[in-house]
Amino acid sequence: MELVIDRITKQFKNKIAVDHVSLKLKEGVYGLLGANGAGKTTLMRMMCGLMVPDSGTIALDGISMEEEQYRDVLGYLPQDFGYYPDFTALEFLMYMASLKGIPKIRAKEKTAMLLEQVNLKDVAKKKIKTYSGGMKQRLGIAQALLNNPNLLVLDEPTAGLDPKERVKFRNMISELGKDRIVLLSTHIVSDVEYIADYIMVMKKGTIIHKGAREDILKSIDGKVWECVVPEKTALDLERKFPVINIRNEKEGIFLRLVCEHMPYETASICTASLEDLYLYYFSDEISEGEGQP
Amino acid sequence: MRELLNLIKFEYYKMFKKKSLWFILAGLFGLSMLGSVAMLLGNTYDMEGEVTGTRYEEMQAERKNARALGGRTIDAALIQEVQEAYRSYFSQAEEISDEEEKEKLYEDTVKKYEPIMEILSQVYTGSYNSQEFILDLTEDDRNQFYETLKQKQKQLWEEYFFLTKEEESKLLDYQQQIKTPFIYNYGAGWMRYEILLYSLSVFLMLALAICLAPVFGGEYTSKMDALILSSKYGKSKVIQAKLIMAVTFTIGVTTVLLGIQLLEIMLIYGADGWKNPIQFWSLTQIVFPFNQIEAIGIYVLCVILAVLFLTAIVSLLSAKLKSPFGVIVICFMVIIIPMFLDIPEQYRMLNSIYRLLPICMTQEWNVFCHYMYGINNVIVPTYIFIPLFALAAVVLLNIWAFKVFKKHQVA
Repeated sequence: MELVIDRITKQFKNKIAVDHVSLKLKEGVYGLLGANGAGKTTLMRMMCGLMVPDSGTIALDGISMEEEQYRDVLGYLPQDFGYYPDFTALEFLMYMASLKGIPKIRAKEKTAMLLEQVNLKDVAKKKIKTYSGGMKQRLGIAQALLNNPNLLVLDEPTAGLDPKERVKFRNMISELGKDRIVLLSTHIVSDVEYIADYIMVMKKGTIIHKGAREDILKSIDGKVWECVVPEKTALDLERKFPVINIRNEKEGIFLRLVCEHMPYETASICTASLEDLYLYYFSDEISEGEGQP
Repeated sequence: MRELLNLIKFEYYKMFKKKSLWFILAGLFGLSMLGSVAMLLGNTYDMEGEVTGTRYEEMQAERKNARALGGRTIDAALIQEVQEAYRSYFSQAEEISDEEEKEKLYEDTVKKYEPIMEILSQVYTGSYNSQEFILDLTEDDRNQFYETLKQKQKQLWEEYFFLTKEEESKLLDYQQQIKTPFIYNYGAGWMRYEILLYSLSVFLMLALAICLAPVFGGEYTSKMDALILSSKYGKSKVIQAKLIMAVTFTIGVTTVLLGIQLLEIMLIYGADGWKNPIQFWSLTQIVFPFNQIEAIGIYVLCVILAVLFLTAIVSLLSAKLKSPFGVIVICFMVIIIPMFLDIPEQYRMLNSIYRLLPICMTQEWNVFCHYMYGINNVIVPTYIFIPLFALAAVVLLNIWAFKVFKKHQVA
């Protein structure tokens, strides 16, 4: 199984949202990391046939994303998950099953199984408008899995989930990634860190880094520092460099930051994490108030 | 096929889940039932303002009188009979000063001829309720009743319409096909139904605009468009299901509503007079050779297709606009503005286009008007063109709506 994204481009007026992105994805879990406005959602929408690229092609095993056959094996959870407030979870999943061409009997079985899997079995006959944010998100995940998709596209899937639910979700996705392509986009670095086999970092419409976790972290190897500094120095360093962690200690202000060279005489080098990498690449967007790891 | 039917079922389910739909349908059916009986509610009064009875009793009395004339041929003999009755009434009435007595005399002598008088009055004077003219009719006038009618019809279209030679020639052909002499039967029920069809169409169109505006627009506002369009059938069967639901819902509601209305009216007024010529609706204006039931059938067909035309517009707007509210606003304008607007008939092209708006297609005076559509000698009357045009418009607009939703990009 192979998803080929070939030089996909999408422009909105003066902004290039996706700029000649090319990817080849096989079975496994892929994390798409990027700040708000990086182009993740636009890329995912094009992959799901919801937007027409200005140029380039997307095909799964040679089947173009415009074909019904492609959508037949696609599961999608949008960032802003839509639903019918007066439908119950059961009705909603049965409706989604009919959209996906799943026969009624099979749909009933699958619906029951998924509702149990996402822990919504007890509230299956209650209206969706009574659900909490996390419950709605779980329902969204369930509908994406209805047709046992070969390509699962999840846009911010853990938004609204509490830590326990998030862990459960991660385990579910890890299991799913064994025999299908799972692409999930997120701001939550830990989600990607724990479950993604392969990470892609997207910035301003292009993939700036891609690879396994260890491979992409090499780009900031030797650039993550920790130090304890006086308050005035801390303010100065905060202005100059992306700060990952800051806390008050007895001796002064503890800082963990990303910097090309030693920021302070007593700074010590640390092993980089994915969060460090995110801050390193997206500190300008973050300082403009656009993104949070 | 099974999947399509299942998807249609879900579209209906989504529709009927909305409480507002039930209120609208209840209001619509309530209005139609009220319309059938509205004219019969209340009392009748004499000159002094005293209650003399109810309107329903008045209708029953009129019906009884009219049924007494049922089956009579409107010919010189009947006209003479009516004339003699009125002569007798007028001569006796001159001797009576008491109003009550005069009224009783009227009821005993000429009231039963009122339906015939209404017909004669239109032909001989052009108005509905003249009486004195009957005294001056000569034998020639009585014998020439139908020639006079045809002359009046021709005079009307020559003086007040901007017809082409081809249209006039066609109207003369139709005129020749009118079956005479007319046979009178009480036909108030059919006429009442014909009168109500237009106002019912207005409410029906407004209701359908509200009910069907969310057919596509609702998916945008609920953000379901992304899930639908990324699903297997999202760009094919789902859209077909929506359009089929819109069409079948329209046909269903329209048919049931018009059917209930017809049944109600027939139960109240009776089904008499279905063979009456359409000319009884407006003697000097309509020249087509139909009877009431044929004309009602054509009119109802035009109404159904006009409503379907409106539904197709709703579907297209719903697919194009991002919110059902905008669809409702525009459709209300499309329905209501033409009711108050009038394009002068001398601007034939504009007037012809105007008369093809959905609401105009439901106007009886438009359906059976003198104007025709076509080029040179190849022309068809409005009652034929409207259904053909509406059908073509329905097909084209639905295809367009299909493409719009299919190509919708989730932004």
